[in-house]
Amino acid sequence: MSHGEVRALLGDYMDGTLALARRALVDAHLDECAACSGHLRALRAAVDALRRLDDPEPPSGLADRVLERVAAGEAEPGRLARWLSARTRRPWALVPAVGAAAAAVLAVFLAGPGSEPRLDAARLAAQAEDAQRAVAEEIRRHGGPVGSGALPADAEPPAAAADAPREAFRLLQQHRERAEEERRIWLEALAATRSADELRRLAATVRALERPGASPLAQEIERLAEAATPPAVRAATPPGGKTAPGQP
Amino acid sequence: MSDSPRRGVGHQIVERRPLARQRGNEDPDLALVSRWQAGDGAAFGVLVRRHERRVFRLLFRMLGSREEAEDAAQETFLNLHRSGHRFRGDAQFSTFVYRVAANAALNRRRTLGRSRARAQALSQVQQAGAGLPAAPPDPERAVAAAEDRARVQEALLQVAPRLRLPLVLYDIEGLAYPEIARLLEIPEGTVKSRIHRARELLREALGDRRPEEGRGVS
Repeated sequence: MSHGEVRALLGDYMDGTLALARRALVDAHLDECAACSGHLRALRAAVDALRRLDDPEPPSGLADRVLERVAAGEAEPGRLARWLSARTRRPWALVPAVGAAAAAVLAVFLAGPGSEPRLDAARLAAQAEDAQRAVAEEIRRHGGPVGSGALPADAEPPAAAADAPREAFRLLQQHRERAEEERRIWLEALAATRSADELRRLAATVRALERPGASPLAQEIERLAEAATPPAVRAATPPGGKTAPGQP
Repeated sequence: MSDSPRRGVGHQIVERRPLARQRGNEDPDLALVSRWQAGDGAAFGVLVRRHERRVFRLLFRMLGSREEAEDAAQETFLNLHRSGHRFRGDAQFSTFVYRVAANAALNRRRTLGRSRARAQALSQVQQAGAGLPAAPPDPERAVAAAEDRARVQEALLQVAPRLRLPLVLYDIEGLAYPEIARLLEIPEGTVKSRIHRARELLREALGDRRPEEGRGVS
């Protein structure tokens, strides 16, 4: 191997990500080449020095200053978002989808969540309450509008909340943004493609994400779970699984 | 074998920052973000406090000055507040935060020139020294260590920002290649090659620095 080739590989060599055969070649070269060995030593020293840099303490009150400015209205979303909010009577923090076709809604929905951990309905229901309490507690302890005392730099998240899957998050977000009619179509699609069990699990997860109190979305999903799903769809859905689009 | 030029190279590698999160699909911020998107301002406050340390650290390493870093950090969180509705849960929320912070860093027009960086770094060493207890066990060593770190920071600032950013994200923030690629919206191969070039530039900027033979990892 030439010096140039070896030096190009030193980064991977250092990180241990070089394939075995290449690694052996680099080893062999380094055994005989003081220049490249020196280069590697200097490279390693540079990276080590970088990794050893201390953790700079953020200025105390940084968060407070940010929240003051937010409270003063400095960081509101753009005018378009607020106009849309006003039209659909959603909190201004959200931008409702405008003109999303029902087909698009269905497509997004039927695409499925990908790799989602299998959820245990009972456990989730129990965790939903815990999660709400834990997050509410954390907000009470840490989230006061201005300067509510010293905070640990990286507060450990409540374990239950950490399990809330991505899909429920997205569903909730979409639910909040859609206009009445689109929500209805979308929820019907949900009912047509999920088993009652899955719907109940989803509802429990949605509750874990919502603020304490009633969750209209969770309630609607539970109502769908109660209602009979069409026998044809139920027969087509393997127990515990769901049909992906285009698959028998 | 004892005379091999490779002797001394096999010392313990300094590990990258261990990731406290990333247990599979879970994102510890999802519940808070969801509430915030529903209009709960207090939830946003918690998110700020959860992420202020990593945001400040990234910006400090990118910009070299505490003052600049604080300005950019505030800007980051305000931008986050403005664009929070855009977070869809497709990636970790912390990745989203890093992206906003990275943009704040790269958008700074005023990048400190070399001499200003050195002056800043040295003044920070002096400030750090002022905070030391009256009789530290080894004052010379402590000051030497602080000057060392200032030198490394100064060298880091000599690496072009576009290359400095993935380097800091990888070797200091401990992010993996795929996450950096997603964050910067570039292919993984590009991330790797930029980190490689950045490391070489850092090595050059640090000069002919060699670890002493036999000195252990401090």
